[in-house]
Amino acid sequence: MKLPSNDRARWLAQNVVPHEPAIRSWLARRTHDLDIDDIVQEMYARLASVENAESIRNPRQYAAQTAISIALNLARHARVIPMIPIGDFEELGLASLEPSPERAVNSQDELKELENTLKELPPLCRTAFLLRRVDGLSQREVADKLGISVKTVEKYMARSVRFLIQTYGRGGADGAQVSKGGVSTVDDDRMQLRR
Amino acid sequence: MTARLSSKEVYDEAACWAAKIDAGSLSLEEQAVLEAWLAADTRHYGALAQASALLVPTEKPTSMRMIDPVRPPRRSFVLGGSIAAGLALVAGAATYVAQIWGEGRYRTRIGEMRVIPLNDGSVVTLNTNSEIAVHYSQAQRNIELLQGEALFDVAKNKQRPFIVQSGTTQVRAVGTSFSVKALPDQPVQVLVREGIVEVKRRDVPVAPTVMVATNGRAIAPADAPIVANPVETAEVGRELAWRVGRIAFHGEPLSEAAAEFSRYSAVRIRIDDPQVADEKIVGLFVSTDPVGFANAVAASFDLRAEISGNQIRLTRK
Repeated sequence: MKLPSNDRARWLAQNVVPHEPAIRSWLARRTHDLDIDDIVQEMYARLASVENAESIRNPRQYAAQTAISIALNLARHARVIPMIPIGDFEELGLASLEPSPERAVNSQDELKELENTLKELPPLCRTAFLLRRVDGLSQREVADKLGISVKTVEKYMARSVRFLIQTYGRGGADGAQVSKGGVSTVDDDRMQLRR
Repeated sequence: MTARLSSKEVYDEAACWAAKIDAGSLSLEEQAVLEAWLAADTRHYGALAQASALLVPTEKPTSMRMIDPVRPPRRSFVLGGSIAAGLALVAGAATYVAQIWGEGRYRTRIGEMRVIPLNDGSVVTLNTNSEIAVHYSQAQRNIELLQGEALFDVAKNKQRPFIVQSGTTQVRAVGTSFSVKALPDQPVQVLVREGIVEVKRRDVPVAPTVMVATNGRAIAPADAPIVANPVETAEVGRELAWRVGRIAFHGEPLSEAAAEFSRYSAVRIRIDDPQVADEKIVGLFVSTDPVGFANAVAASFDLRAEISGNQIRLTRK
């Protein structure tokens, strides 16, 4: 089969990354003793290797379902029996809150949000990353433009990416940035998992 | 085998690899190291995909291109890598994919529900006490419903029809959402939530194929022709309430409601009085909570609910 291609990375960027905080937050509130990062990494692994990702009609829902299935599997192997209510997963609005890929990546808000998120990084690091991510310069072009070495640009890229992963992870812990409204927890609706 | 990295460490390393790949400067030796790293743990692969997605240049609206859903371009992830190293990486990925997405059987126990994402982008939701077998080939996506009930959200692919078989009934779809129910001693039922499916009998080749569209239901008895009827949207929603762990009733007799609950747990609701058994039930209930259901029914019809072991008896006061 194949490794994630550039096209798949783009598909993930447009269709999954914007929903990651909501999915993390949803998982965090409903699983105990499971490492959310583990689940998210496995989720990306599956989404990176799924055939014909472009034909997935509702990537947000598909990603969430993939994450749920991974969580259920981990729970079985870990011999912990968490309460994962499958019941409220439609009420969460996973099906209806799907932003179009255009809205997810092209809006000015999105860019502002990205710049805002990155403001804790050192300015040169942030600038290098934005030149690559937003202006589409290659790492070599970024190095030339800023008068720094290619190696340093690569380090900045790694640092910025790590920072973004961290930030999205935190977004999951203290309330999703992406999910807005429609989130309800119905406690009596919990389905007990059996081993 | 190296020790399992914590998820944080995986992210640290994935971010470095993603930046290195993005620079397009992987040496042959680095490619070999990356290959080994990816093969060690599927989380490594996922974290790298995630990190790479964060480095994708933001696309401008005007450059949104057409995507061919059938044949996604297979450009190599590793820029400037040698062909040999590329092949080795591809082989590693194949092992990984086979592990996760093999053909397979999936089943649920009584009271359990399972969501199964399939490798073509389709999603199967299995209701209580149900079993499917997945056989995907290049030409067709075949699924056998061995028992119970399943909802199929099918990813569109005209070249590769999605076919569900249950006994002698065959349902064929291209891209749609439909459920198939095969309960003991009942005809197979097909309910279409979206799109169009074709239902036919495999054992009677001359029998006509029945087309069922959105909000349509087909009933396929073993010894009579398939009948298709439209149903209301609300009815479709009620029928599929099991996806959210519920059972919905809209005027069904209590006896039928009790039988429905018996699909989801070992608890049996007994009603001896035929008049009581014929009371009409309306409402949304948690499918794995027959006791709650019985108590609610008892309260609204002024009945007594006696619980002993796995049995609940509903009697007049």
